[in-house]
Amino acid sequence: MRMGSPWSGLIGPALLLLLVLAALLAPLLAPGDPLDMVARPLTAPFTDAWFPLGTDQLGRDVWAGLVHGARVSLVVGLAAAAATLGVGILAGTVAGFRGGLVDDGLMRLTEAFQTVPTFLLALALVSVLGASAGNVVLAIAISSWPPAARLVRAEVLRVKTLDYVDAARIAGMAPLAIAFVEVLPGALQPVVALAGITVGEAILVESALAFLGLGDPNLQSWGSMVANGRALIRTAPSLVILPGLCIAMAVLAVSLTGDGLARRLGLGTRS
Amino acid sequence: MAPVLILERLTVAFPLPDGGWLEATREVDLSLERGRVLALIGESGSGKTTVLNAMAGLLPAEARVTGSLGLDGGGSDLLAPGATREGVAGRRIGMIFQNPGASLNPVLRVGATVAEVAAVHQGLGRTAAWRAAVELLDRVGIDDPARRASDYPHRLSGGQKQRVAIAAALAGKPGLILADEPTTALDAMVQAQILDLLLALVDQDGVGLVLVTHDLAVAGAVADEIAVMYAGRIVEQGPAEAVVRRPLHPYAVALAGAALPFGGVAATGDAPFPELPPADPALPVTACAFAPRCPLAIDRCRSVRPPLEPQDRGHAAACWRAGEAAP
Repeated sequence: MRMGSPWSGLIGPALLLLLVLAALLAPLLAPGDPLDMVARPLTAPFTDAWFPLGTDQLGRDVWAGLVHGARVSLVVGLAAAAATLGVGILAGTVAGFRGGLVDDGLMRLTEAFQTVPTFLLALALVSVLGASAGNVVLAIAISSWPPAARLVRAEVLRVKTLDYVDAARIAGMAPLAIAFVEVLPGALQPVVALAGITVGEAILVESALAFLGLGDPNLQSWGSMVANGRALIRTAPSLVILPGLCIAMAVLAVSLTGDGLARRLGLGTRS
Repeated sequence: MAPVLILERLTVAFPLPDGGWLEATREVDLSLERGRVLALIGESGSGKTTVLNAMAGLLPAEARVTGSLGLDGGGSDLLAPGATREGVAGRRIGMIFQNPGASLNPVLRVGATVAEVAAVHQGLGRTAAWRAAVELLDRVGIDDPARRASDYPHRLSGGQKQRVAIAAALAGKPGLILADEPTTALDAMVQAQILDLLLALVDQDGVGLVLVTHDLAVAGAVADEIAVMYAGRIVEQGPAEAVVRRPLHPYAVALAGAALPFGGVAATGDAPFPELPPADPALPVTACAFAPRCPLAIDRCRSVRPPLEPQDRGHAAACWRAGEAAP
């Protein structure tokens, strides 16, 4: 093992913990609505003790926007990833275990989805469904489930040939029970690694949608903050840089955490 | 007493890429009574595992299966894979696999694996099924079963895993247990223990045991009856004692020569017949499949396949020159 690896394994979880704390404590860290105009517009960062990160062109507190934005990014990111993996695991398990026409049908469906770029599909869905946090989650799940489904299917195909699955079949367990109790747990290990990436991607897609003005208009999100600061990138670059850093940090945190988790699980179960 | 197993004219064929069919077993007849052990022996590719999988309903869906299977006095089941997949649930069959490491789900506690079967077959609730599992683990010789039941398979040795697999097979209260080389992956000491355990269970519960092995010594030591398979057919069948001591088919003679019998004379070490790849199951069915390797083969062997015919007190062989090979 490399020197310092125990620490590198902690960077991701530490960053994630920081973000989760910021999201949970947002009402305490920055009371009130982050969309309220509370101070003189375009206060520079580190000049006013009450507004440490300054304000935007409408006088909204950037610090408040960032901590409340953490809520939006994490909640939408986690919900979208959970929905994505849920649909993917369900479809992948059914396809891999059942085989035949069901498998063919589901796999052709994933291919149909994969021919459309994930982000464009999410964009189209949100513009049709309307911009709200729930619709953003839905759009991300619908556009990103195919890779999860294909991964789970491949693992299910491997696991279902193992003796213990035959043993369960002879024992008379119902096919659904075999698929989800016996086969699925053995197929989930690579899904853990995918989970980190999926959450990171969901956060990115949410930010990008918000940047394009398709985020929930009633919530302050990092993506919409970047979009808002874009016009002033020369005069007040911190309005773009600070939420941009937050997005990068969030994606890094979940990716590192997912990697670390997958590595630990991989070491734990390999015999 | 009604036999627990009657298998008639089982023929299994697998599709070949060129559109033809490869017959893995041909017209196999077997029967077994409760409380008795039948050993199915033969080399790799002889079709013994296919016979077992057909009875268990584990053949792939593309296999073509004909024949009939009667279990525990019940009517004959259709053996087609599609038909059996659902029908398997109703069969009182327990199966024990060769590699105990692969036959237990690594993410389930061993007690849960056993309890699951008990729950399905005996309609028990969670706690009752768990209690039944602990009792079964105790029966198969797991020390401190109440605590061991909560362990995951990786904490158990190979022999202990195989004991757990046997407990899981018993949990369905089967009339018939199918064991596919259950001791091949184990140490010699543990092999003997597992075989003793299986025999004890056959005696106590009066189940029938079909034991697939390629070890004639093992078969001779534990089985009541032995069926020798070659290229998908049974070529010799009879009481274990007779098949081991006075084999009739030249192939069985060669097997007996290659084995170190339990309490018998050591093998001479002479190669009994030229080493050839396992017989090609795609040979024309008109010839004896063993003829290309047989030291006694005559012209008749290469043109007409000998049927499995009784030779001596329940001892049958499929050979024109049965009994002529020197053991």
